[in-house]
Amino acid sequence: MISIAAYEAAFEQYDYSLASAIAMIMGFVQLVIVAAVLGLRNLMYRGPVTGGKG
Amino acid sequence: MPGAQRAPFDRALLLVVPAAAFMLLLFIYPFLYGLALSFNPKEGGAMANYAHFFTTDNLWPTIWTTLRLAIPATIINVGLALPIAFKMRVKSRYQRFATTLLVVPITLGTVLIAEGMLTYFGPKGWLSQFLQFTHLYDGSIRLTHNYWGVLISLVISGFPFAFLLILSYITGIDPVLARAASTLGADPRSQFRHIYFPLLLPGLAMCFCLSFVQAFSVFPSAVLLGRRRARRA
Repeated sequence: MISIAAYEAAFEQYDYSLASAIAMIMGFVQLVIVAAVLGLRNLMYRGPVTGGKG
Repeated sequence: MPGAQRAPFDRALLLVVPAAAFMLLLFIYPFLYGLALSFNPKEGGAMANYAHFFTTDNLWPTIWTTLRLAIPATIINVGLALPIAFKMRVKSRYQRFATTLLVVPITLGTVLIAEGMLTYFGPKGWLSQFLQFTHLYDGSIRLTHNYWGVLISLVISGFPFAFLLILSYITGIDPVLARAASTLGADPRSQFRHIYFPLLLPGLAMCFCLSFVQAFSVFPSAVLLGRRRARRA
């Protein structure tokens, strides 16, 4: 797990700089996936989910 | 109030200050601090840390091991929560009971779940003792300190979250639409496929994102259930 890698860098090797770099990479990967899913979401229907009279 | 009309500044806006200060102090400042710190390595140029990460053999593959865990866990959570939430959308006698039961794991922390799993799924745990006692499966099972342990704990802790999100989306869909479809001869399956599912997809995407982020950055269960002595899980 990447969170363990960050933990080890910070608290076992005491390299906070490397640990924050790992955390930034972690955040970037999350951002890529979330952006991809939200990008797919924009292709779909958006609008009210209620019926209304018609 | 006499002065209220003249004052262009709405004092109610001050209510935003604590929340904004909270975000600034506890999220934005640490983030920027970390970002700056990551470009100031112990030795080498500004990008030395990133270069180190992508060239070290036990660092950069952690991206894939984490994705290999987080994406299946998210798909299982959302995939399991969808049919159950769909069943729970109508009021019934046991709905409250079932919802409570499904939501209980959210009140347990990940650490508690991991500790419980270590005793339950461990090599001498109830599950393996039960399986061996009833001779259902005689081989040794290994569900802790490896991939499966972390995956199971991610499903246990992430499922209620996905379930609650999908339930709130699905109860927001007007049942009149499905009823209208049934007057046109749609059976429950095609009602789901053509009405509920398309309306639900944006909500599912949102739920997927939130579950994924939760699963990706989970730390306690990874340490307690995933880590082996010698190498990183």
